[in-house]
Amino acid sequence: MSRIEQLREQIDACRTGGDDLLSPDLAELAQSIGEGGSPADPAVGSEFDRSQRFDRAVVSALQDVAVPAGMLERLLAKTAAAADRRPAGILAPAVDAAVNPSAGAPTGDAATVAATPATATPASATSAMLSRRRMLASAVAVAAGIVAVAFVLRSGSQQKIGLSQLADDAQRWNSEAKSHPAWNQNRPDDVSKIFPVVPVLRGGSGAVVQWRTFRTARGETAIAYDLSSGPGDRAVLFVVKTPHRYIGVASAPSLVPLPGTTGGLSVGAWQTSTGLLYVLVVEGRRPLSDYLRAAPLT
Amino acid sequence: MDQHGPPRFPAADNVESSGSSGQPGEAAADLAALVMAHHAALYRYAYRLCGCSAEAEDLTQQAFLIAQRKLHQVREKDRASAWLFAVLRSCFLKSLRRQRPASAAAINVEVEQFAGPTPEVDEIDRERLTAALAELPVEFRVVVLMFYFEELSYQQIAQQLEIPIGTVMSRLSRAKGHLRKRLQPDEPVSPAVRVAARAEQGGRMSSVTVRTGK
Repeated sequence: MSRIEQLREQIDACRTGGDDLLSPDLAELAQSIGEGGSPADPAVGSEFDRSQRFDRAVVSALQDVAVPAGMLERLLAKTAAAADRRPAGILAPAVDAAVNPSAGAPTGDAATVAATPATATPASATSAMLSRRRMLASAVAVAAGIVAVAFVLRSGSQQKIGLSQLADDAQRWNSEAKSHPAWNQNRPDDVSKIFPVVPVLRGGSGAVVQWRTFRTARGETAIAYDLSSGPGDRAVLFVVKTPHRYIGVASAPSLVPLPGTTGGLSVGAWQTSTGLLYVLVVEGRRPLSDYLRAAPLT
Repeated sequence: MDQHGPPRFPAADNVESSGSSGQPGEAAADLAALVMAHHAALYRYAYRLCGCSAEAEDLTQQAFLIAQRKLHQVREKDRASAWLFAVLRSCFLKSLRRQRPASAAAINVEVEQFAGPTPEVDEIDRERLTAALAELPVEFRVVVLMFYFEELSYQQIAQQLEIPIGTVMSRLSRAKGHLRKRLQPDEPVSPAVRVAARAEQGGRMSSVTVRTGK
């Protein structure tokens, strides 16, 4: 068996660029390739270098897998749907209380029925039957309540939101964005496929300094793209995936600030036909046109 | 030696938070950020583990849904990736346990020690790599992917899989030897590789039984 074969497992255990050779388990290999000033075995050293190059090539090839189209959207939708599911224990008491204000009392009919002995008298049997009727009526009422709540929630899922509300939202989002410490510094390549910015920004995705996701108070998924280029220049573009209609906003990038914003902010907003709401908040005197493409896009 | 590997799943209690305030909206935003930042890497890892794009997407989704339930454990952003990889690997291993044993069509592949020198390759043939991975039995594939993909040391792999260090070193070396052999530029494409490639096209990687030392 050659020296390389003897050391094969140790060579294979070394990560590229890692400090694995410092491990006592691999001391023999470290000695053979001359780590720490030991006399080196050129053949082992050469094989070690080849192995490391091979590993780098394998890692690169392993990463070469195309992500299925639309997977990110599907994942976001699934996780958002799972997050929106409320435990039954939260909704049920609220519905029950709305339908039957006395339902919260611990001495309910169910307890009475459960406690009814098998040798019940006719009077107690009648009482039990009445209790069962009451239970049935309560169940029907609760079911009706659930349907009513579901209807209200469904109706509420498509709101019409006015400009003043949007201006308030924009100021709140901007305020929260300013104070939030955790932003992503990497390029938003995947994110911008769903929340596109290239068509609207003057600098394209390159103008995005950092980004983060957030949820609006209405539960919409949103991205904040920080476009601030330095001190005295603060601008954030919010892109919101929303089922709601924002009344009074343009359908293409608008360079006209919304009325009603205060605190030295300029806010531009538009909503695309695909439901994406864009809100650009600029602090200071720079016009919206410094950030947005001048030509309106459809 | 770096002993600070990612936490073992499910006992991933020592991973720090990305700063969630604990509010539901904030948690949802944190999760969306996790999905956006890590979905591609997770999918690639899942695909290399199982060899099937549909199953890889399912595994990726499972990992994020588990992350959603245990988001409070993911407290340190730069270690979220390691935590998610561990979750996904756990999902993959659980999915294997739910599946039926290998069919009669399973093929025997010898994972042998490849004695020759490491080939000098500028670029790895992607199809050969996929097929060579598919040939590896799962216990070898998991170890070699933990090494290459999760960038774990052999000690960390041993710790996470709860197997002896010697077993990890042996499996890692045999698996890498197999890849070295199969990725030789002049290595003929074996029938096993063709079967594995067909299996990949049709679904998950084919199951193989292997005669090995460990």
